[in-house]
Amino acid sequence: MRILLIEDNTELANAISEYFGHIGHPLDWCESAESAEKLLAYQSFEMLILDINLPGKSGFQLLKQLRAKGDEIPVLVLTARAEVDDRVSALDIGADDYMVKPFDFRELAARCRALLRRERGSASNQIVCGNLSYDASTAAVTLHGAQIDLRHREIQLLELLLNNLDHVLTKEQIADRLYRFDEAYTPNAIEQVLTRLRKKLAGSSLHIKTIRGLGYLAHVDD
Amino acid sequence: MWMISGRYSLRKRLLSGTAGLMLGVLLVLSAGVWQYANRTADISYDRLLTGSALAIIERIRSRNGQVEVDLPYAALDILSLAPDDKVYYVVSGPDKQYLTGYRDFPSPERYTPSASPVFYNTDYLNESIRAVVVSKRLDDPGVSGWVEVRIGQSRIARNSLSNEILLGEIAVLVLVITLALASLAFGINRTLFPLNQLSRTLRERRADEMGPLPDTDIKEVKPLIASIDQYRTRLQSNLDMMQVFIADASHQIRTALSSVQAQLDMAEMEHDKDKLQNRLTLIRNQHRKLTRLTNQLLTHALVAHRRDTNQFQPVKLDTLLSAILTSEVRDHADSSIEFNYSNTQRDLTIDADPVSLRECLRNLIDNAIKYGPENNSITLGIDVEAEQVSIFVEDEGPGIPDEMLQRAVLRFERIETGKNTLGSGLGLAIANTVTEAHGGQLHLSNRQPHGLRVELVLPRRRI
Repeated sequence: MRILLIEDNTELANAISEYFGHIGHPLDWCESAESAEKLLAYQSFEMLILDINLPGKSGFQLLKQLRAKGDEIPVLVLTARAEVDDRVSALDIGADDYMVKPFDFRELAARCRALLRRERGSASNQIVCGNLSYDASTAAVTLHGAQIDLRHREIQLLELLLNNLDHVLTKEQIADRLYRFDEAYTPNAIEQVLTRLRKKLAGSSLHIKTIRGLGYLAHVDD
Repeated sequence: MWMISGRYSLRKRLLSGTAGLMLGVLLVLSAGVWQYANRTADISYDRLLTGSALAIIERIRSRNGQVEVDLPYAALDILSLAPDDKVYYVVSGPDKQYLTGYRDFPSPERYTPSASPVFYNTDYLNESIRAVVVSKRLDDPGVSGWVEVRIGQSRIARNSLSNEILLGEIAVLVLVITLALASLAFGINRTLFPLNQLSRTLRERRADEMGPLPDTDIKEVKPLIASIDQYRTRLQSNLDMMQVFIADASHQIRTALSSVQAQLDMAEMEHDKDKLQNRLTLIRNQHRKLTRLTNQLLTHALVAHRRDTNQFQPVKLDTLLSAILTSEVRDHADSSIEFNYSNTQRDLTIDADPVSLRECLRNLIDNAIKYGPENNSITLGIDVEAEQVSIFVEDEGPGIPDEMLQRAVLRFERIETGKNTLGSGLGLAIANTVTEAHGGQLHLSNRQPHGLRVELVLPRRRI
């Protein structure tokens, strides 16, 4: 994966570069929004890690420009400001995720993987979540490299969850996708499908959390 | 009462208000005095005119079918009391027949002949004239009808008399009003003296001098001094709390920093790879605590700042709370903690500061996770009543001993220095500040069989 890091603090940028290189994802680094613009003009990247507080043009301005041009590249925003408003406005102007400094490198890498997974999942049929992978064209699910057998509804539910990682799905949303309107189902039915799916995926990097009163949320922990 | 805009001086306002009022009174009284002076002058000089006219008319008689006038010298002599004034007269017989005097001296409009004198004002030879007309009926054979005497006098003496009266009266009025204003100014200065003294006392005080202000015997100033004293007491207690808070925070931060420093120093000397790894783990844990502490301190400062700047807007609670819970679940998806959401009023919107509320609830949930068991069950929800809405966070952790609940409420602004309670104290301090900013109350209670319920009871309408 090609990631561009835009960060003016040399120590932090070096440490992030080193860490990503260490885990097998070397990244490119530039120090300002202006030089990032030049790089983006003739090279393609899969995602940006963007610091907000930059000398010269701010990260916000760069992000706004990109979105105004219709560039959909995933952007993870880094902010050091104590002002919590930053987090909200970053999402408002089109950041896909944000992290507040200081942060855990493992967490940063996980968030990057999650963004890339979403991006690649929509581009190809193959979704890889740590030790779990799913091929949408063949409906094949492998865990630790071994194929596992899933029933039709379990596969439907898994695909729905994988396409909505880190987002809450209500029971109604799941029912709409799993059952046709003329099929009768009990509220318990979804819970049962989910229980079987959890059992079959035990030990995988995919966590499916039930939030009683709200819905379901799938998160990959790799 | 008129609107007061900008700065103004109480003294100037009182004085200018009263002076304006007095000027008005002076104008009304002057008009009255002017009337009075004119009337007095008219009455005096009209008497002379009447006397003169009657003296003339007395001497008109008929003889042999002819009207005769024997103009008495005395009649005009009366009028010489006003030596500078000119006198005009005309005498006419029955059927307006001219007898003697100034032929074209005007008569009053619509005059019905009568034996009683009638006064009128007119102009003659470019002068303003005061005149009287009086008539007498002659009923002799041959001569029958009204004879008439008109006599007029210019106004020089009359006017000078009326001016004399007017000026005298106005001089007295001005003197009285000047005296009244002077004594009022003196009175106002005396009344405002306690205020001046109070500001001098406050100005000369040192910032850290906290005793009550010197008492006053003036009933109207007492409440002001009492309010200032109360305000200073509150300010002082805030300052005291802040000082304790800063002292505790510095202590905590320095301790954590020196512990990291110590571990780093030791790590540098460590040659055994496994032991080095252990040291690094310790450093990481210390650092994580330090980060959390710093974040909480900054958040506390942030919500306190936002409380003072009042950043309220309509907030749909369902959207805010489910977003908070979603991000918490995502961050703790690999744990076995159960998360629940309890909200039956999905459309409820209240006036609130969403940023402060989010920080506060995140901290409360983080507290619940940090101090609760691995299989904790945490519920974020709201209870809605007619006047208020409670946003609550419940957990199944150890709770707070009942005897400590009260103390926890009292000591929100203070970081607990006991083991493991540091973050909790700060989290509650944040929650308390946010709740207060929303005009609500923070409630803590223990749950059965165990667990803590932290509840932000907020009014539905903004105060």
